[in-house]
Amino acid sequence: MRYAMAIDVDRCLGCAACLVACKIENEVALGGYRLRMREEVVGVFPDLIGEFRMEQCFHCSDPPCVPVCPTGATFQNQDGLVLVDPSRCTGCRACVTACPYDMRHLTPGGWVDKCTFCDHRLAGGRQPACVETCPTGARSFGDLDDPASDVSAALDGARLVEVLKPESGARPNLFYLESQLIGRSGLDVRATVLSAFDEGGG
Amino acid sequence: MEVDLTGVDPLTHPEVATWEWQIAMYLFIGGLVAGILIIGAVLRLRRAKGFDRALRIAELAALPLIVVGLLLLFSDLGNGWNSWRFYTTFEITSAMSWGSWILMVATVGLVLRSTTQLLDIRSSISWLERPLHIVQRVGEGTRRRSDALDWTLLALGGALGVYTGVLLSTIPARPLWDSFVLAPLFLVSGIATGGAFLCLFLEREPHLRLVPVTATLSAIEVALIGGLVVNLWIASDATKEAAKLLLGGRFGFALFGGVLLFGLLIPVSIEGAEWARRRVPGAFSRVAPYLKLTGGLVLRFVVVYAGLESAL
Repeated sequence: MRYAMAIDVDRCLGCAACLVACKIENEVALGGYRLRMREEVVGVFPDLIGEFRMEQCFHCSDPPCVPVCPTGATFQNQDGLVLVDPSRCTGCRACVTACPYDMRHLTPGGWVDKCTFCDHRLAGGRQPACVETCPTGARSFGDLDDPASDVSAALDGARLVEVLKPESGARPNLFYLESQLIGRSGLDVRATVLSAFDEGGG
Repeated sequence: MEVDLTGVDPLTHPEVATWEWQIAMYLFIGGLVAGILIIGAVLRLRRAKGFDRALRIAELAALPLIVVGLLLLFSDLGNGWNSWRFYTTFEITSAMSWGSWILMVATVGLVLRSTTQLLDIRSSISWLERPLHIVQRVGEGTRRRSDALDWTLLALGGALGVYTGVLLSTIPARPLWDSFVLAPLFLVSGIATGGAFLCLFLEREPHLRLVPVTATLSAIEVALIGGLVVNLWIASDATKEAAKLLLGGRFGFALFGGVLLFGLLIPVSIEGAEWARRRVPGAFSRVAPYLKLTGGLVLRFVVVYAGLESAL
């Protein structure tokens, strides 16, 4: 089992419904967000092209945040999800510093919080709240080891697949599907992604 | 008009809560205590004469210093009430877990060393006679195994000094810390600041005997800072960008001015002139250890803050 998510950037409208759904579903504290929205615009006016890109914990196969945790509060479960046990977390923020994507935040209660891929919903056979809410069906989720899963099908049918910061070596499990790359030239993304698949055994 | 914009909605991505000044201060104090432990142990094992009083002051001061360091660390925790969790587990891959345990054992070692130091001044603190009775018994037992304790403190000092660098270098997401040079740099800098702290309480003659040692440590520290920059420059594009943070701007100013010039070059020149029996104004002589201590502190702040600013 290897949970993964794919976001079709061409379909994303930047409506932030996923962000709101996440906040409500997980009762994320005021001021904190498990998802964030990045906007990129490139080109020469008037030939501009842009995209919205939602970012959240990438549930990396080789997560840099896990080995640095001094109390074992941050861990990776058998399904590959990277989770935080608040009862063990001291709020030392070693994991916040170690995350190459800056996707963790400190709650007002003093522990570190992040996306869990809604693991509590997965236990009941449901999809993460952000996936279920997306009005354009931009998000696909499932088991990467299952060829019939939504995420495997989305990746198989994609023209271009990108992972962010492949040089971190973390092998993230959140993929971006695109028809063209925006603002990130000079990187052989396709080759990098294929390599990430191979190493992950997916 | 060419447009190339990228940005995160600031509402959904407030500033990442990484480490604050307390961590830089904690790393400085950790290195300082490591230096005191190492130099104290070496001087005693070598049966060096003329250092007893200064060592007593430095080692008795090291205990509250290590407590202050721990308080700084805990004050930076988001959930300080959970700090006992550090001591319910040992996470072998976590430098912070190693550091927590090393600090715990080093504190015990320092308490034992303090008991022997208190034995020597018990007549001047006779008003503490009753609680000192226990201290005296522990101190006498410890003194019989003084060499064994010094070897232990030497190892603990080394581990503590190395840990302060390893804590950062095991976080590859911050390219400026992605260098094996940080551990020896912080260790050597820690010993140098420990030596400078000791010099605050030394008479002139034993101070001058230490000068060749402290000057050598400073030279090694300069070489390691150079090595850090070169290592970052050649390792990858991300680390090269990180190295540029150290070569210019406010971090470059602090590194070249605060650490290399005022923290190393000037105090070493002053001590070198004294060692060569040149006439040196007393004020210069007294200020040299303070400059070294300040340089060590600035080094920690530069490395921590520039590292937090560097990103893949």
